[in-house]
Amino acid sequence: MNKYHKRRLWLISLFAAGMTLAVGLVLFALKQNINVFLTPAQIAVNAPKSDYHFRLGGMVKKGSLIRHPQDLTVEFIVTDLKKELAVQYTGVLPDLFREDSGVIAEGSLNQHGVFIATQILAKHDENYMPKNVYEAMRKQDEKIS
Amino acid sequence: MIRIAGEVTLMFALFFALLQSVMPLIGYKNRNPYLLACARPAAYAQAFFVLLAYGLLTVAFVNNDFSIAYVAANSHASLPLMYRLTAVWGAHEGSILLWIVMLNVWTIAYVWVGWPSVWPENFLADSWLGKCLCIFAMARRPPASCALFAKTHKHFPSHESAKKFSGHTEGTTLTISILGIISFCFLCFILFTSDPFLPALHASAGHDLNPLLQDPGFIIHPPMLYLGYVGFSVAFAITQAAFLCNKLDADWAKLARKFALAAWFFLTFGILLGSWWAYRVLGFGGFWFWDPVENASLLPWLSGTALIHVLLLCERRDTAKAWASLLAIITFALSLLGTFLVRSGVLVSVHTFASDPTRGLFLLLLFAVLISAALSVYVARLIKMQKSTYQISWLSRESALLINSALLFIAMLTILLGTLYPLILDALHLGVISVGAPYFNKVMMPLVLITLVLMGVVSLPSIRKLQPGMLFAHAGFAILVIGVLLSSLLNQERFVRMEPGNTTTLGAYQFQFLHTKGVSASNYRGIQAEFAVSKNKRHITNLYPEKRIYTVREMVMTKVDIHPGIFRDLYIALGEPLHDDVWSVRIYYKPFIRWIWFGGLLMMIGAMLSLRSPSLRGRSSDRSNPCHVESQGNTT
Repeated sequence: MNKYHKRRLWLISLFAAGMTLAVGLVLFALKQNINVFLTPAQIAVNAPKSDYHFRLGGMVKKGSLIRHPQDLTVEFIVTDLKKELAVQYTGVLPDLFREDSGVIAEGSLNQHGVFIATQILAKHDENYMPKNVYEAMRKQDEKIS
Repeated sequence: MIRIAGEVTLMFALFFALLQSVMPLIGYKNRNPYLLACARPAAYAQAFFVLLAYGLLTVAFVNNDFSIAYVAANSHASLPLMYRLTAVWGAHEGSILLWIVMLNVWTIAYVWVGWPSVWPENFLADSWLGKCLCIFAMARRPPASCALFAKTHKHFPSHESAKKFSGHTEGTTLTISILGIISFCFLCFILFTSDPFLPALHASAGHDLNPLLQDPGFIIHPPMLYLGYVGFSVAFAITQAAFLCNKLDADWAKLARKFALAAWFFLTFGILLGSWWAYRVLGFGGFWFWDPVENASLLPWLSGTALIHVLLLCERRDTAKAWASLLAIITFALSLLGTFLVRSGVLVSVHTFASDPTRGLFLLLLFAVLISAALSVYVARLIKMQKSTYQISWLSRESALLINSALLFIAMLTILLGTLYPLILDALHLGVISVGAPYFNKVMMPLVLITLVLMGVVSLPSIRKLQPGMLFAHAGFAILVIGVLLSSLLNQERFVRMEPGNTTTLGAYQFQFLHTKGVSASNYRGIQAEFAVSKNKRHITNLYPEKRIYTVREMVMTKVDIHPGIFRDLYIALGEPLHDDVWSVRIYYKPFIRWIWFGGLLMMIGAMLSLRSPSLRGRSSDRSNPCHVESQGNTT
């Protein structure tokens, strides 16, 4: 083993150590920051714990939006056409938030089973709809026709 | 009329792309200089037809030709002319056409820079096909080309000398051929899956351009981004050609670095414009959302940055060539991946307008074919490559460069993982998840800080000896990081319910809601609010945020108003009307946010200075000295 080999060995082990550290960091960060996407029907079957942070997707039920008169709190119902879930949010709603249109909310359930949203995602495409909601609606349409 | 002309033009472009890619390859294999010489005129011809197709589509937009489905879907008679011009790339089909236009622009730039001054048309004139193609060559340099028919046999009387000459041009023609292959693939893609000239199925008055895209920031954002993306394919093609000719020398490194730097310049500009656009248009005061599409542009930027640095080692120290050429392939792959992610509809994102599965499959196939071909050339040639004799010592600038490139590479991998992970899980039916911004922030923070420290340790002690380009780029990066850190740490925001007459306080600033009034323009109507901003009772400015409804799509948009400053921005966005004149309002105090874009601009200046530095400006080997060419030709 000459000087050149030694140097190469050092380099490789340094690289391996760096990679291990990076992979460790990445996995740690991923584990903490993954948001699972759930629909009301999935929640009805298997409700997550009250401190579990996740993304809720569905349609805003027509006529369900209520605004509190004093602050910026709103309540509405998210539906996937099978089950419904009440959502509460304090803040400014995005431009494309509309009744009878797709929405994604991030947050967690409280003790009463109401979803407390910390963020309503602005999906800036008016044709946007969560994929599973779209499929549910298509099936519904097929049933009718 | 325009429709059919457009289709025919695209077909012609496809034909010439095929010539441009196949002829030089056959010529290379059979050592036939006549075929090799076809590369350049074919490239001109292709570029001509691609630009013509683009011009035709633009004319269709300007004339509101709604018989074309794509125009009808993305324009409207009431759309201002400026946005009708930019609507050409406002959706899928047009942006793929723009991609091809950019590729052709780069090819022509390469032909100008990389082609030797001795006339290769001399060979061309000898073949019948060459004579046809010559017409396009003439368009550029008439005197030389006209004279060429007469001179042909005088200059190169024998086939032998022609062969000698071809040894020198091989690398250049192969590069053009590889660029032709890429262009051919994308022209197939556009003709078979995303034809912008398809007829509209029923008459309509147009659906208007997506209002989010009706913004000055958007006018040059996509072209710059695409110039950057696509520019890396030149560095890739140069590298692949060098591999095929077994000429991975200092000339290769210099030429590849030149084009990689130019591409990097445009990509940086494109990303900056994108973040500036997001800041002003999306109304959340953020400059980067870790949206998959934003990540898609950051990935080739990171590996491209690594590439530029490592190529420097190849050029000066004749080492790290395998790493540099791998980076060239990866950067190209990432820019293809970016196109795939944005254009295939696999992402649910701000930017995704297309969602046709055949397009996604086609792009994925194209990606797989191009990259596996590139990698097999790489592996096959790597085995034969000579080991570098240069030894990198510890604690040298060389080793710092390598570590820096490794850090950039790791940063790229972590972002790639975070971007693709949800897609892979979804594709395998393992559940629908999303990876949030905190992941990216958490992972990138230590990497960026280590890079910054390393950069400082290396460049600060020898700051006098640094080239101005490096100095600007590195100082720019430091300023950008400071901007990102301070603007996120010291950021203040407030969501309030307000009506005219109300005052709210944020930090040291008071915001008084004065009144609202109606506004309208050709394609929207809206409400404009007026706020008086003061600090310690001293009046600073009045801000006028708006809420608009774009009438054709009935789409609601927020137009924010910003009071910019070197040390802080004040930012107001109207939320929604709660009732009567009561509004929800978002107010932000954004310290040091301008530093982000200022730092980015400095980095661009750095790239520009490096491009103009004497070490890169000099021609790699031959242009000024034909004798040198002869000798090089002899040795091959």
